[in-house]
Amino acid sequence: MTAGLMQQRVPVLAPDEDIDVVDSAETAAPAAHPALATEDFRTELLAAIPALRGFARGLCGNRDLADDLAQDALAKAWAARASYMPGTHFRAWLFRILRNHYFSLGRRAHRFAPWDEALADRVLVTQATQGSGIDIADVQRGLATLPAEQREALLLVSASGLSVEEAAAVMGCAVGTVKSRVSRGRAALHVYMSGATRGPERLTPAA
Amino acid sequence: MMQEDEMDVRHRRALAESREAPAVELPAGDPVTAGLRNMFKAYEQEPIPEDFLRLLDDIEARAIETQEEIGTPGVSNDPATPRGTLQ
Repeated sequence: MTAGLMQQRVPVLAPDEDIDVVDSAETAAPAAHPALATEDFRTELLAAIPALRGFARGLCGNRDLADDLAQDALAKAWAARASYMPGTHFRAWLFRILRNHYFSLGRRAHRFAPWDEALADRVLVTQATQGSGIDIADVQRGLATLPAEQREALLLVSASGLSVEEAAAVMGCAVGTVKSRVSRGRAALHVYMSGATRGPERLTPAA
Repeated sequence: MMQEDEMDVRHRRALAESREAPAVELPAGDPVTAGLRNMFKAYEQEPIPEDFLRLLDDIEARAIETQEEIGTPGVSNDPATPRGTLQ
């Protein structure tokens, strides 16, 4: 990883930019700032694939769809590489591309299944978190019951470890909004998980 | 009476402070946070499908082919130029 990308400066994309900003960036004029060398960019992109897939998976709850989203996001990022500003948070930039793509697809076609029970049982065989007795599958089910904006905030801040400022840049909203969504999401997830760990009376995810 | 007033002031101050406090607290040992982090780690540790690793090469190869077909200036047609690399 290059030294420049290790820095965690926040400006990913301006919060008020359109949700499809990266689509337009592909055809935009070359950026005014110095671009990252192609090979460095490629290296960073490849290194970010696991996190990108993780974020996509948490967002949509379906591995195949998540991989499609992640591949689309990689392709968009590659096409828009001139618009990436070296020294800013690379992973946050990628997350922003992916979430924009996810929400724009979701708006155009309601084809997202938020939770795939059979696939989850096959793929995510109950891995208890160390010492806490919490089942990851329960976390995933609980996450799927949350509104998308709370799920997204939890994934960015609590799961992937972005700061609230970075998450705000990814989500294109105010820091206070991120805090509020994280707080509400965590409270709702806590309630869900408390019920989930009690036994068979599990809540079913929202359709 | 005086004590009640002081209590009231203290109570109101505490309330005000609580409103000003950050809305998000992420204690390290919190089970929800721990569960989310472990879930995310589990996702990250899943093997990456081969097509992910080929994706960028494929995109570049397609882009170069398209440019060659339309004869875009500045793109080398030299067969020695490796595919998948930028000119």
